[in-house]
Amino acid sequence: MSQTQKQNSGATEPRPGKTGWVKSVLASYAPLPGAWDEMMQPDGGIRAPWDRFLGLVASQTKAQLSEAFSSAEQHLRDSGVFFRAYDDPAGGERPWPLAPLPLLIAPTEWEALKTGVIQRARLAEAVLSDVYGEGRLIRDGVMPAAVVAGSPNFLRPLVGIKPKGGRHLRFYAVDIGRGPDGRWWVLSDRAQAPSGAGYALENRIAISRALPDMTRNLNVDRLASFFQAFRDELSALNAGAEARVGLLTPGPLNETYFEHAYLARYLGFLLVEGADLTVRDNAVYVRTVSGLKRVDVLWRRLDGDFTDPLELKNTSQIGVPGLVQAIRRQEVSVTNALGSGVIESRALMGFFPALAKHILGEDLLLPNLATWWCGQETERNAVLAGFDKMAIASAFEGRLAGFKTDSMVGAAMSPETRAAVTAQIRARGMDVVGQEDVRLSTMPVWDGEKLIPRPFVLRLFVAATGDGDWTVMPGGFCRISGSEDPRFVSLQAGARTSDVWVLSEGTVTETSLLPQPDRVPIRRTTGTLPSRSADNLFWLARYLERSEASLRLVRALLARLIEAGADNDNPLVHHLVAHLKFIDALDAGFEGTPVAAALATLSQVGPTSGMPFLTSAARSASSAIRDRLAPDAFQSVMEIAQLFSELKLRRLSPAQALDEVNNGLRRISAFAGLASENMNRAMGWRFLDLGRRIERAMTTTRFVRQFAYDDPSPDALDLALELGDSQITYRWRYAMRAAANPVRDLLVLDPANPRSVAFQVERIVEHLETLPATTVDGRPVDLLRHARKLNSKLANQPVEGLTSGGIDKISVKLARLSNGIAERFFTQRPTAYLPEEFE
Amino acid sequence: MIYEVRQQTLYRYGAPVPFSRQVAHQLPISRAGQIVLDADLDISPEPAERFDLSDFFGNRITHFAFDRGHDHLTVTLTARVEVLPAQSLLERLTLPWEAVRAAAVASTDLGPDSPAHMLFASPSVDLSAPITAYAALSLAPGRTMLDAAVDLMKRIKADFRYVPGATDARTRPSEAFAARKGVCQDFAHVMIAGLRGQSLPARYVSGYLRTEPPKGQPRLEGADATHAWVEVWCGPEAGWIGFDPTNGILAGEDHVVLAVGRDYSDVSPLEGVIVAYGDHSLEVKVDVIPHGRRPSEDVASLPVTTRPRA
Repeated sequence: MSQTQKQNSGATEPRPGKTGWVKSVLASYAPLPGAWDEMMQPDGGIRAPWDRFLGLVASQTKAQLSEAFSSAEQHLRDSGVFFRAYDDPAGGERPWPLAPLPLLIAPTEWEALKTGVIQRARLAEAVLSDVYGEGRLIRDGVMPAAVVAGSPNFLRPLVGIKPKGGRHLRFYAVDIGRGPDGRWWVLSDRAQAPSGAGYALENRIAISRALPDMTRNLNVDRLASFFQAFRDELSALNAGAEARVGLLTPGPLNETYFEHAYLARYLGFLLVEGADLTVRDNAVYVRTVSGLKRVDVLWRRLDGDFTDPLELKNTSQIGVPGLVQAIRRQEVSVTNALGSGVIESRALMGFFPALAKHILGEDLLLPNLATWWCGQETERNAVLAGFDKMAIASAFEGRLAGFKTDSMVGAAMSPETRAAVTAQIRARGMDVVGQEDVRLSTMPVWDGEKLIPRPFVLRLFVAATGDGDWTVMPGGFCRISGSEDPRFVSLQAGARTSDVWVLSEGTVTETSLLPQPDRVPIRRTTGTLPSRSADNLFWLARYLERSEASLRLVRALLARLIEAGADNDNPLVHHLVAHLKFIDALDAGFEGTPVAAALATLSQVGPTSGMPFLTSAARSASSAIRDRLAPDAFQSVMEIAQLFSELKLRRLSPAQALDEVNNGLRRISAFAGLASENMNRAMGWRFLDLGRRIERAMTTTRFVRQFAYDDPSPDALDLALELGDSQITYRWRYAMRAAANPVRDLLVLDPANPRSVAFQVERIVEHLETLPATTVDGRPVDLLRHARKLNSKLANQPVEGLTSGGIDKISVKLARLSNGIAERFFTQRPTAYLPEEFE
Repeated sequence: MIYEVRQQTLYRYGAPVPFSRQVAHQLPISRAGQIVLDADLDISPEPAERFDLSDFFGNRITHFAFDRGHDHLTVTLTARVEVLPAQSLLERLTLPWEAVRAAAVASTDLGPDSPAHMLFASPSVDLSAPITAYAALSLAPGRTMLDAAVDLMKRIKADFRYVPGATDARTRPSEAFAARKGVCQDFAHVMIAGLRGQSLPARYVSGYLRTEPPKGQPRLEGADATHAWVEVWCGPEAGWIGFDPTNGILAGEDHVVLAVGRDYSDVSPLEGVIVAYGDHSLEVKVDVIPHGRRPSEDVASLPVTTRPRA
């Protein structure tokens, strides 16, 4: 180790402790008794990789460092990295809890870990292929059938099906921890849909920004080549050149949805939900705005049993009916193969050493926790005898009754729990395992004042490579317990994560397989826009445009109230309030003052054109298409929603409310700018713009009908111009007070006014002409024909003949266009049902 | 005895269904105790895709899909099945339930008939402490498995009320147990939960009962639609033996087996995903009559109207 250190240390590198603050921080650091500490030896000495790291830390002042870490946090916030907290009643998104100090792993140590997890991946693959294939291991008595049959992840319909491409596992993970003697242990296996790799990548990007010199100086291995190898492996399974790899997600309500969207963007995969896919003639297709497109390869991020309600869990609403049949016919390759989750059982861990011997003829290079499955008499008795010192847990999935953590040490149980668990072991031992209770090692965590030791669990990722081999991500996903108890490493329970630096041997020169570090260049072909994404883009734009209209109404109302004082008797004020009710921005039964009406529109939950409803609907729509929105654009939707969800908590004066309204309008136009600038995916942008145009045409039509008809006063006409954002154009065109026909013409018919109805309809026609499948055999379908008809009607309509009845007809036609778009491009979600024909 | 079995399932949809994909567990196969002489499943309208295959437990399943609007679906099974007389049970009486339990957990068979699959909680049958405790009363030390299972079955028959409509296809065994009432599915699920709670292997059977009893015998419950009962693994020699807790009898010459699985969810007659815009109604008619006799005019048919799941 010391040799490596010498080799990598530059002559100018300061020694640790040279700077006073690092020295005093280290002096107050106290590792937990009885546990291995990653940084500090029992005698207070600093272990090798940390020695070099702290040397670099000491070359900066405390203030410089904390500024660097704030910038890492800022980066995470700006990129919208979050996780979903299940215990939050609002299902809230929580900021990403990144601890500033990385976990360091020395080169020789890493080599051993790497070989160990690759061996385990080979073994897991062999076990799966036997369990779903010939079944020799059980027949030969290497393990009993119940160890497999007891797993809810043993998916029987998959037995006898050879996966396309031959492999069950292509993306496998193990959680490891280090015991007091310094040895690493496998704590659990993850083969369903291991999460964390995308978060590890984000952690790396954030920390590299904060500490750019350090990652270079310490020769930290880069992550990108791992992802590239994995992407190449999946892409090679595609039959067609144009086919895309689909990343199958459970959807935006999932805890790790952010990661799914992030990895889809990063790897250039198509993010799809079950409802986006359909099986026809045993092949899988994605529903897109251009019709059904073939999908050959899926990387699933949902549990296997949820993937097909027909042959697997029949209550699943997030699967693809018929997927198992497509797999059976080898028309689709799913990674990891359905049923791979069977490898995750704790019960199976007890058999891993024997399996390694039997299958590979080798000992486990990386041992797993000693595990006793209580389905066997000898093991059951061993667990009952050593109960106090053992960690007791469910043999398969979930937790034992009465447990608040996944496992509990016998001695820590209440007398009642203890009695219940021992009784369960006697009656149904096969549901229970006892495991060695390893005291996990700790790493230093900065708590703002000082360093404190915290236990952690490290997840390592293994991906399949084309030559039938495996590659390990040089790094990992490290979860640090929120307390001294290592059982609380779940983010839900307050744990933090850290970057993991694998220090490589060799020179200090920067080596990377990629032109851009940590960024795989994204290839995207246009044309594969899932219908669901198009639907959400369309509605996101509509909700935001409608928010803008509601805000303009409130602004007009507030401005008039402020101008005239509270005892205002302006008939327009009442007209505005009535209009707010008419469009359901305000509850129809509302009876307060006009000021209260304005505030209620901004803050009252319920009405479908009120701000809280609109902005939260916009937020849901954008959450479902995170992979398609630039992080800035996504962030601005979050901010808009935030603004109006907080408003109801505060009492505002009319002037303050006016400020908030202007603030909201600014943010909405910022979104429009960000979205159109960053949406390089042409088709997605068209649906966003279609939504905006349709909604703008509808709201403008409504404004005109309300305030520019039925013998309007000049004040009312002014208001119509204001709401239609066309005062300046009007003044510029007519040097006179507002008059009915010029106002109507400008807002409805004038194709040169970018706010007019005619202008919106022209854009709609353009979009429809460009979008796929709007003509059949060269002839326009009804939708396009109707849009063109409306367009030419508006172009040829003299304003003198534009009656209020004519305006109403335009409204109806716009609503029909919107429905036509939905029918043409978006699809209805299929619903699962369970027939009940038992008498 | 040779039976003619006819089951017709008719769905009417409130609005045309443009697309649907379904799986039916409705074709009986030959297995120990019965020989299927012929069986046909007619689906109307004509599906766009259709094929049969075997599921893990050896049941025959039919996949079918429609890609065009349809406002009804009729699935009609017609089959001739010969049910063999029950074998003598005497030679099976020996193994005590403790030995059955040990053999099941240690089984080195992962095949379709292995007891290992039937030891654990399954999608529709979770294990419940009260049911486990209830079953324990039938498990005196050293009692044979057959004896114990008969006792448990008879207690369920005595303690539970058969009340059509009291439960639905998704009722958990613990709910039916607490209410002490339900239909054949609930009786079967409760018995399965009780045995599995004690590490004893039990599986679910769906099938048919003879519609009309022989002269002078009472009509059995559950004859109007698909019926459900239980098979218990009584050891490597005895294998699976059928118990009908709804009627308190061993499954015998009146029982035609359609499919076996861990619970209802493995064998539900029709499972599917439809794109639906409206409500639907469902009607099921079953006739199981000895070969050579015409179905009588007054065979009861029980229309069931259900709402689709939200």
